[in-house]
Parts: sequence; C-alpha cells; structure tokens
Amino acid sequence: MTDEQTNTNSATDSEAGAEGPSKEHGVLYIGVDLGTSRTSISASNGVRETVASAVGYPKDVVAMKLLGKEVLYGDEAIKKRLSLNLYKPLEHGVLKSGDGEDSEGNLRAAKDLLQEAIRLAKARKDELVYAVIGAPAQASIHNKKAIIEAARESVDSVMLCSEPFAVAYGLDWLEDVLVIDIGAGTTDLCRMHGTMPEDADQITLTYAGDYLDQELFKAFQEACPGADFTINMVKEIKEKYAYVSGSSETITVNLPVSGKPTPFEVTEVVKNTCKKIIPPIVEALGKLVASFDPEFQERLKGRVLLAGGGSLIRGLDRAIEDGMHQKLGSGRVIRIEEPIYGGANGALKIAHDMPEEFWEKLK
Amino acid sequence: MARGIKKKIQQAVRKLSYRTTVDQLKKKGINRVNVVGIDRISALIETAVHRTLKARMALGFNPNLTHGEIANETRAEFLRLLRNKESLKKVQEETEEEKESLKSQVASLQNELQTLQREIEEKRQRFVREERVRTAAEDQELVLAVQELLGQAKLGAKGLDIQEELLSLFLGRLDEERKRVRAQKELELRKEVDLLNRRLQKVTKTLDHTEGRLQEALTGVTEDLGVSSIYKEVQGLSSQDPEFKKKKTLMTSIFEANLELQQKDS
Ligand SMILES: Nc1ncnc2c1ncn2[C@@H]1O[C@H](COP(=O)(O)OP(=O)(O)OP(=O)(O)O)[C@@H](O)[C@H]1O
Ligand SMILES: [Mg+2]
Repeated sequence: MTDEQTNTNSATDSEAGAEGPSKEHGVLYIGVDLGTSRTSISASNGVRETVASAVGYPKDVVAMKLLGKEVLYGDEAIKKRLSLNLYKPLEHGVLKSGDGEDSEGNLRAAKDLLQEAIRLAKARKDELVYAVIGAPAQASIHNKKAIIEAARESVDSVMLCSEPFAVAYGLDWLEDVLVIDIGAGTTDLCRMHGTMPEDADQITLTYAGDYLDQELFKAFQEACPGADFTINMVKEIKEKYAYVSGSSETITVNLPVSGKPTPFEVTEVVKNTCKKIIPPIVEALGKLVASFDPEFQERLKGRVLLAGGGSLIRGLDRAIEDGMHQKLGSGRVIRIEEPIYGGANGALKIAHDMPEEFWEKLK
Repeated sequence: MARGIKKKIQQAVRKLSYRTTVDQLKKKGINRVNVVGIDRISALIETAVHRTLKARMALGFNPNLTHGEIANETRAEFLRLLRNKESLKKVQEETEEEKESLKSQVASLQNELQTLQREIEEKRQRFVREERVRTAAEDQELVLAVQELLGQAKLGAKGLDIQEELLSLFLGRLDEERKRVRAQKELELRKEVDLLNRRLQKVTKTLDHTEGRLQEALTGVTEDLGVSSIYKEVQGLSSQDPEFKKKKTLMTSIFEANLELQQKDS
C-alpha cells in the first residue's frame, strides 16, 4: 500500500519539514569564552551573550516548585542562591575537581553552563554548529575532555583553544604577543610566538578581580568605620569606579551605618587598592620577556594586549606601561576594544578560519 | 468496453463454426435453417458482458469524502495560531484549546475511520455475495441464450459441441472481466481507507506538535526558530589572507591538539 501513498493528494503533501532537520541551511560558528566569573559567546549570526558562570539546582522539591525550574543560570542563580545548590564550576580558572569538592556536581554544572551558553547563541535547528571554546590556559587535560564532552552534546563539532590565544588571534596579532587577561579568579599572562602556547609561555596569577574585591573590602572596613557592607557591594563599587592612574572625580559611596546610608569619600582608597595588582603583573611580564628569544624581546615588550573584565580599570594600560618602563626599560600596552567579548570574538574568528576538513574529522 | 473484444468474439465464433453448403445440409435431411449473423452473436455476448460490468460499477462508492476538510481546517487554524502568538498566556490558552479540539477531531476521525472500515468491509462482503448470485443468474441466462440461439440454428448433434465450447469461451471471458472489475473495486476500497488513514495521521501529527508547544508554553519556553547565521557554507581560512601561511599553521596545530585530546577520550 506504500506505493499508493506516494500518490500525492492535496491534503497530504506539503508535510516535509516535520522530519528531523537536515543541516543544509547554513553554518553557525560560535566562539565561547568559558570564564571563571562569566561565560560569553559570540556567534556568526550576530548574537552575543554573556552569562555569569554560575549554575544552581533547587535544594529540594519545595524550592523546585517555587522556582519552577530544574536548573538556574547566571545572575538568576546567584540571586536565588539561598534556595539552590549553587555551583561556580570554573572558579579558580579550572573545573573544580579536587578532593573534598563536590567534583561530580561541578562537572555537571560545567556541562549545564556550557550548554546554556550554546543555547544563548540561538542556533537554528537546520544549521551546522561549529564551536571553538577558549578555555582557561591552565585547564587540565581532564578538564578539557569534560568541556569537550559537554559541548559535543549540543554542537556538531567543537575545538578547544587557549583563551589568551583566542584573544590575540581575534586582533590578528599572531606572534610575539603578550596577552594579559585579567579575569575574576585569575590574571593569565600568555606569551605567543606562532604556535600554541606551552606551559613555559604562561603565568597565572591570583591577583585579579576577586582579589581586588577582597582587598577593597578590607580597605573599606578601615576607611569607613561603622559601615555595613558585603563583598558584592564592594564589587559593584569597584566595577563602577575602579581606576589606577590619572585623575578621578571624587568617589563618594553611600554605605549604611546602623541602617542609615552614610556617604564616605573613598577616592584614594580605590586607587591605591586597585594599584596592588600592578607590581605582580609587571613582574610576571618581566619573567616572560626575559625567557624569550633575546632577539625578539624588544618586539614582545612593544606588543602587550590587555584583556578581560579587569582591564576595564581605568588607566590600567598606562599604569602597566609605566611599570614596564621602570622595570624593563620599555613597554607598550594596548587594551582591547571589547574586554568582555575579546575571548569569544577571537574564538569565533578561529572557528571561521578553521578549514572544513578539520571540523569534519572531529565530528 | 474495448473495441477489440467485439472482433475477438467474432473470430472465436467463426472458429467454432464449420463451413457447409445447403446441398450438404439437404443430404443430411435438413431442409430449413435459421440464419443468425455473426454480428448478432457477438453483439449478444458483448451486451451480456457489458451489462455485468455496468451492474458492478453501479455498486461503486463515492470517493468524495469530506474528512479531508476537517484536517485542512485544523491545519489552517494551527498555522494562524503559530503566527499570532501575542503572549505566552495566549499561546498557552490557544494551544490548550487547540489541543482539545484536535484531540476531539482525532477521536472523531478515528471513529469515522472505524465506521468507514466497517462499512467498506460490509460492502465488500455484500459485493461478493451479490456477485455470486448475480453471476450464477447471468451464467444461467447466457447458457439459455446460447442454447436457444444454437437450437434455432438447428446444428444437430454437432450443435452440442459448439454450444459447449462457445459457452466455456463466453464464460471464461466473462470471468476475466469480472476479475478485472473485482480488482478495480478492491483498489477503490483500499484507496479510500488509505486516504482516510493519511488524513488521520496528519491530524495526529498536528496533535503531537500542539502537545509539544503546550509543553513549551507551560515551561515558559516558546519555540524559537533561532537566528540565521550569515554563512551558508563552511568557511575556512581565505587563501587571500595576507597571513595565510602562518594562520594555516596555527589552525593545524589547534586541530592536532584537539584531535589528540579527543582520541585520548576514547
Ligand atoms: N568596570 C570594571 N572595572 C573593574 N573591574 C571590572 C569591571 N567590570 C568587570 N570587572 C571585573 O572583571 C572580572 C571579570 O572579568 P572577566 O569576565 O574577564 O572574568 P572571567 O573571564 O570570567 O574570569 P577568568 O578570566 O579568571 O576565567 C570581575 O572580577 C569583575 O568584577
Ligand atoms: Mg576570562
């Protein structure tokens, strides 16, 4: 009887499309920057999204009912953390999997986060999806595998690359480049000379955003006696006012003292605290320069890229340059245009440039 | 009926007959003969077969079913729903309504299908039954007609043989035609069932889709077709790129590192 069914009838044709998607309608490239505090994506359909690297699961059935979801992501998860088991699966730059940690939970959270990030790209079902993920340079092989595994569930083919490499590639700076990526948990310095960076090309510091939050918290405790505040409030203040050089208008923050909002002048406190990350960074730069081919050391010093959320600290590029002049004799630092999307944009560019046969082989 | 059959009947009749002269018949003591033209005989047979066929055809059913209209309406309504999703709430409500209406439509279609299948089965049985009766009657008629015909022809003892052979030829041919009619009827019935089945499948599919949408509406996730990429094809490094060679090397090393990573995987 099947023969007769091919016999079309006006009421029964035009039914195609109900079948599984054939991926013939385009290729979507996604660049992913899997960060400690923030995961960003940039895609070839113009979509750019960023989500806080946090995943929460309702603690119990009641919480689940109330929240109406099984998984919460990003800021929403952070906001409702009291009724959630909250994971920040990439804290400290790598997938947490040490003893004592809930490594299974972290792994699951990392997977969920990555899949959420890819969902944010709004891929059409009928498009091929190829993704490049910029992972923290120091992620272990175990971590990398977990990341790839998670991504493969939602894309057609995926590759990992080191995040600082993605940043530099995005700007077409292919070799003799030093990338400083100031994130939340870590500041990653990476030297590039044509091929993939090796361990010797990378230095990871914990002088980064979270460190500054802690230091500012302490400094505020001293500078604003009697005031009540949380680390999150400090972070918000930092993101609004952080600067290290040049002049700033007077920074006045309102902090509650015995419940009453009270103004405190913190201009110098903010500046001096933010400056704390400069010496370790300049020192690390010095190490990477000194161990480089002497013939190209000057060139390297003149090609320093500043990226990551922390690079938004006003005047930081100038300040690091000054530090380099003092310690290394010369230096030129350029802050990338879009610090938040630098890694994702670079990963997107790599995805675009990757030859077809490579994608095919990794499917 | 096919033109050819008339000629074939004539040929068959001619073949069955034998040639003789009036003198020879006289010698055998036959003085009078009734002459029936070969045309008349073949016309007779033709009419008999034709009438049989006609009777069968008259039994036929009207294939202009109206069930399809229900499916079409459902489809149009559903598309409209897709286009006009103004708010989640509305989509949800409409989806639910839609689902209910689709469900009842599916149920009624299923009902109709069963009824129709039963009807068709009954018709089929009746057809077989009636055919048996009719066939017997027709056969009988034909036998009588031929007997009478040949009796009038006064063919004598030989006439019996002719009658025998003629009848078996006619009945054989008649049978063939009957089979053809039967097959055709069978096909019609099947087509009808198929058509309804397909429509039922279609509505069921729409129902599935609606249920999916309902699920989405309930979890707050509306179906989204996504945003199209600007690329229709896989890109890859342009050979025009001023840094082609260097970039190619970099791409290769990234690929190799990933290949190694994935191979360790398994
Ligand atoms: N305007 C700003 N001034 C100073 N710091 C900022 C500003 N905006 C964001 N930050 C800080 O940048 C950090 C986040 O940077 P980014 O998004 O690059 O981190 P990440 O990539 O998730 O982390 P990592 O690179 O360690 O994996 C946070 O500590 C945040 O407070
Ligand atoms: Mg980062």
